[in-house]
Amino acid sequence: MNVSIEPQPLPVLGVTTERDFDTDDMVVNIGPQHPSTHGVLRLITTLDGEVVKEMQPVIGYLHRSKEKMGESRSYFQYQPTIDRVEYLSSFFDHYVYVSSMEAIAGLKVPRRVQYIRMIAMELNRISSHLLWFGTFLLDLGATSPLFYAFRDREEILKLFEDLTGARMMYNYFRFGGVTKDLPPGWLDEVLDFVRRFPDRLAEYEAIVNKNPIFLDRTIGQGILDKDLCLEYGVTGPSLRAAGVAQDLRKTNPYCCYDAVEFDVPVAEHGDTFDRYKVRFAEMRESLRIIEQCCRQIPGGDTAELIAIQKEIDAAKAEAREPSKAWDSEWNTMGQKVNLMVFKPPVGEAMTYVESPRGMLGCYIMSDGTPKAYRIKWRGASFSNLSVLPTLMKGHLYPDLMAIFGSLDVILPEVDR
Amino acid sequence: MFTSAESNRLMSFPVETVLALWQQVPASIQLLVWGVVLFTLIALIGQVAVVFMVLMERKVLAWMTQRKGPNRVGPWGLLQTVADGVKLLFKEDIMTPDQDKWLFTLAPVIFFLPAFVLYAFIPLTRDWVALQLPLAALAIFAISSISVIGIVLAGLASNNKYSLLGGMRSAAQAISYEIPLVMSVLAVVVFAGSANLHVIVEKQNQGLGLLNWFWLSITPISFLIFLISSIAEVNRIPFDLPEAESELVSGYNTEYSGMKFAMFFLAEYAALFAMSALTVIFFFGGYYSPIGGLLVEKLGIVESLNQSLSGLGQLVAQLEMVIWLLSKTYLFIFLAMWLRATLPRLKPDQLMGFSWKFLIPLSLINIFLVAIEKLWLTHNMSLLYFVLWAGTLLLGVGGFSVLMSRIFTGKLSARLVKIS
Amino acid sequence: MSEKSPLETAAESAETKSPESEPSYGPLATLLMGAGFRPTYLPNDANGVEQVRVANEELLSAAEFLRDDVGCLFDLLLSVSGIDLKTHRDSVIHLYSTQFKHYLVLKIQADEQDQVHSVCPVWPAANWHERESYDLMGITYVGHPQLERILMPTDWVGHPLRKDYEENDPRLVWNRR
Repeated sequence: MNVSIEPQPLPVLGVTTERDFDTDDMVVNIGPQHPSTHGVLRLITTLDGEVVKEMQPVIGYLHRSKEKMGESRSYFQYQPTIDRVEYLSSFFDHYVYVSSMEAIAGLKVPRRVQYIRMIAMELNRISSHLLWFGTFLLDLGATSPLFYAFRDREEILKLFEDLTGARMMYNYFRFGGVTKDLPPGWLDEVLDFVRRFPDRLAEYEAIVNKNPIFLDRTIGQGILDKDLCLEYGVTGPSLRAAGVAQDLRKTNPYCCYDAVEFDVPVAEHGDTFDRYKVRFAEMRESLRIIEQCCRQIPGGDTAELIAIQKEIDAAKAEAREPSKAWDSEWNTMGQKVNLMVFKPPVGEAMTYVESPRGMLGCYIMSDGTPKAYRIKWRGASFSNLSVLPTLMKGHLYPDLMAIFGSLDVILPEVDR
Repeated sequence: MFTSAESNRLMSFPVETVLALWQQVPASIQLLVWGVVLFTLIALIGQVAVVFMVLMERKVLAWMTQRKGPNRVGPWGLLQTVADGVKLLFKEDIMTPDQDKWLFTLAPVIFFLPAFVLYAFIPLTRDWVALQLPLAALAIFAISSISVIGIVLAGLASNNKYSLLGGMRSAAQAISYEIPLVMSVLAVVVFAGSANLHVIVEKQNQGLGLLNWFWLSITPISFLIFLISSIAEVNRIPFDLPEAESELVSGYNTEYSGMKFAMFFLAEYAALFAMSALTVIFFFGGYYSPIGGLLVEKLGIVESLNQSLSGLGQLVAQLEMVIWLLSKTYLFIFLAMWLRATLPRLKPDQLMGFSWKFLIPLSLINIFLVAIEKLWLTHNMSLLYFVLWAGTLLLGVGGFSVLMSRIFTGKLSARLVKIS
Repeated sequence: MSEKSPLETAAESAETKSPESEPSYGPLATLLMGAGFRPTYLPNDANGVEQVRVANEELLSAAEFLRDDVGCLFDLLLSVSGIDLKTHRDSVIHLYSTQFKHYLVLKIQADEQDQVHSVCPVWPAANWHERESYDLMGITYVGHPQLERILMPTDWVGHPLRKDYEENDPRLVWNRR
């Protein structure tokens, strides 16, 4: 076995002679353990008083070799670990993985499953944005909105617990379908939540939107304009706040997003306040999507499906014609897939999805064996974080928390 | 204080010998002893207050977010701070060799002492005050500004860049907010005609009580400036930049552990208590009730009690004054905690811009305003002065506030700022 | 390794073109050919996304063309990754156009020294992605402004994502038991 050895010169991080380093500058190390870095991130900052002259992020503290793990485990064995690629949007991670495999293996997905996936993903988007809201304001110094946001997030997590059995790491989607159908009455609970939630959102806006301290700290700060976004590969709400109407749900619809009506909020200036506004508006749009999905879902509530199935079984037992027919679009699993020895054909596929942070993608290359040949995860936060040094130049150090918080970076996605 | 005759009737026989000895002590020593006793009394009250304030803060913050605060240690969590104190006492006192040993140890002491010394000035009642100075209003702020040195020393001696940043920020903040603080008190002093705290309180006690207190009768501007500046002086949210948790981990007290950290912690609450008490004394009628005077005096309880046991009526009156002072003080402490639960933190440039560009010009206009008002009152309310006062109020204060509020809510800055 | 994996047989059959079945190039490959580049045919991936193999020498000019030409306008670089195909390494670039809403997969075969041109001058977003690909796969990107390890510790030896990566390398202090 030949292992290539490259001697690694130790890079001198943060301070080199080529850069303009005044001896009065202070090199501060923010992190990796820090109350506010949303994960384990190290920022080597060169400060001139309170002004940031240079910033170098050091990542990799959370590298768990997810891509290599995919190569040494079978597809089904790997599936429970992909929730952790981006723990706040687990359903999105699952969707890209499952959808790539479905493309490779040519599995057909029933419409009911697509609607279930859509409801789950949109609820996940709301819970992710709520957590972002709470922690963003906590970074700015306001301690109460965190508890408000978590109160509502509790309700969503309870819904997820009824649906999948777990509050955060769901492992619910399967190749070709979902694990099991919705619990009876779940759709009514979701509609209940959708009915209650807009008032809560109005409550949060009342606390925050007119506060002069908040406005002064966010308006005009951290302007990430359109060119900078596209240069650095920034996607998601940060890109939409810069004025680019780019949302994969509208531009390249997947699942059944073309069957529901919703708008994509886009702001103009690209500052911190615009990113805040865009995420807030996205929560409202997600509510619209969820409501339409709950009403449009093929088969309706599971209780009705159970009744239909009972009728069909009874009819078969009594050897007569069933009075109700079963539509194949109501299945929760498209085709029978032997998950233990799942050997997809040779092929490769990549799927991108609009996660709460941006374009999340998974690329699977299969070589016909039960284990993947290559799995590549494209996390949105990886590119979103790379713009931070350019963005922070010339800003004050206290602005760092506001700007970094508004970028909504999740470190597991950066490091994988 | 009590006359010797009253004292003789008040206390029982065995104490008379002590009293006889007491008469022989020279007057200056008597004053000193009384001062020490009263200072100990109010310091004890202050310390117990501080201990429960720590718990009160946690409880209040929790209730505002629909949680319960600490409720395990003792009934309703009352022994929580005791547990915290014991824990901090047992902690190891970590000091690295790079830190300046003397300054590191001295910093919490310098921070702690002035807040404590302030207790000597605070009059609990008409008669119970440890130190009565004709220039008390000035001396108080002179002494309280010494605590800034403690913060800067803590930042400097910690050998930690975060602490240094925190110390520097705090010095800038304290300096910026002392000026409006003192100038708003200056307005009170001008109106009351004296810097003696007793005179200030007595001047508020004339008339209608609540509506006559200085928070309203010399236009609320002084009161608001004082309130904001006092919260900034004590480093509370929204002005807690020196200890901004999410940015600097803990600012100037990052490197402190054990009892030294406890001293910083408790000193902050002690300063908050002192500042709240001062707010009450300067603006809210001190130790008098909101309807003017004392309830026991109005209802005639003093005389009836004096009949049964001489001197008891006075004692009850004094106690009532203490109750009024403390309850109003706690109202302002609650206000500070309420602000902490609600508002985000100000940035350093916002903070100092607010003080230098808004509060200081406003407090200068305010002093002018108060001077005119005083002239108006002393010159039998002549029309000229009233017109002058109303004009300054509308144009000076009103116009200035509107202009500044436009800048500070970002309506102008959103168009002006472009960061490349 | 005498046996060929199904992947390699499939790759070979895709590359050999019989005269009867001329592979039909997709619209983006046609566009590239019209501009004078010579992309190699690759079948679309299972989701229908067009894939194109470009030679290393043409990579920079092809990248600039793809970014600037009004027919495709690929302004967003999504990711740069590496695939270890045992005999050689491939660098894979995912592109997206916010104007035309289409994707493109560019594959570049690294040469014997595992070198590929860096596309940082064209899309600065590639900076971190190429660092990761270098770190984990060992592909050296020529022209990268700061090619150093990004995820692994700076003194790590070896490239973990390679198929022949030995986890119990004795030079690694962490693995000493």
